Amino acid sequence: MIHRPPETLEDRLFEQIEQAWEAAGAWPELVAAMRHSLLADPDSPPASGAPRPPWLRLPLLCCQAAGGDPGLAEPAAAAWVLLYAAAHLLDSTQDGDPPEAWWEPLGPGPASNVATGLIATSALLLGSVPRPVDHRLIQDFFQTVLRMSSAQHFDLTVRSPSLDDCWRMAEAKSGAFFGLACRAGARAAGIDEGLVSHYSSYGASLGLLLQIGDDLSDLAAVGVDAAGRPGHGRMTLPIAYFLSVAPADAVRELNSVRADQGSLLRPGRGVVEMLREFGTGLYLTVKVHELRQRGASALRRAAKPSPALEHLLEMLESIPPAV
Amino acid sequence: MKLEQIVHRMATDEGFASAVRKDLEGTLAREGIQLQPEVISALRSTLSGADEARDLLSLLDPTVWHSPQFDPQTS
Repeated sequence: MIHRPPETLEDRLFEQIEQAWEAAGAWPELVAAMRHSLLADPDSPPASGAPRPPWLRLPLLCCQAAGGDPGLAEPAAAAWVLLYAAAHLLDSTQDGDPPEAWWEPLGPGPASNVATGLIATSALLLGSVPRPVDHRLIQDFFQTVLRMSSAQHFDLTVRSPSLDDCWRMAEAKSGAFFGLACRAGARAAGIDEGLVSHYSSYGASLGLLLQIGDDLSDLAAVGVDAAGRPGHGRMTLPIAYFLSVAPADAVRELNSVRADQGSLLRPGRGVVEMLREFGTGLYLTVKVHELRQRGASALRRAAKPSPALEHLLEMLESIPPAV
Repeated sequence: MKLEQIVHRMATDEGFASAVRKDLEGTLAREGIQLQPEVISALRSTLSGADEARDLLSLLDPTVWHSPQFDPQTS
């Protein structure tokens, strides 16, 4: 069921966002920074025609797969992508990640303020949804944000989380957030709540797959410190697995590896070799297959065959990209 | 026994790994290892397709890693 080209829908979403900024009287400097944060490639200027985040279509596709007009999920999709950009930005500043080019000259303080603006815009757009759907939608959005904040607090303050802790945090952050996108989209189609929960499960699996990819990417991008943790100090799934199974002498050896990029990929017994030797790649690959199967199974229970369903299933297979 | 312990044993005990590859469910039963059906299925999928080139740890190489790229198109 297609009512409008998806490009038109996306344009309308961004028009709604721009209108919310204008109506609120947001200053142009903040608006420019918020525009940057919403690009899939934030290092490109907004006027360059850089692609928008691919996740934007997740609520629209779920609404469509559930038999609804994707236009019904527009406010939820716009609100969700704003929160996605805010969460990404806050996560980067809180972890001390290398800044993206657009906010490097601003610094982490102003970047955090941009995230505040994005969150406020998200709330404004959710408030524009016609009743009686709005109350439940807003509750769902901000209850999810609170759970994500809880997990982030744990992540930032607990020094040595276990492997189980890491999965619990991933479920409460990426899993819950992508579950929200899919749940909100499917709910906009007006389907039964029992079916909505399957879309939520699908989104949670997708979010956890992304977390596995992000954790591997984090290790690759920033290396590990003397304790085997990524340079920004956050525990990742590969290292948490290693620490959960490796004997004390292997952990000591990992700790002895110098904290530089070369230690990650150096020939012989670098960090990658140590991780591989203890089955880290195999473990994560099993988890990837488990999540893909779980996500696909949930989706097939809820959605009838359609191009939207096929696209959603393809997403599961494309993340992380190498398995 | 949890999945991580089973995988670790596979990585460090060649005899066990070989037995699992030959007869996954039989080996798990003989060892008294209980796993959820979806985990067994994922393990089977991994073993049937696993080779070095597909090792997820290859993603740790920044020359291999790219951010998730897909462009779902509603049609």
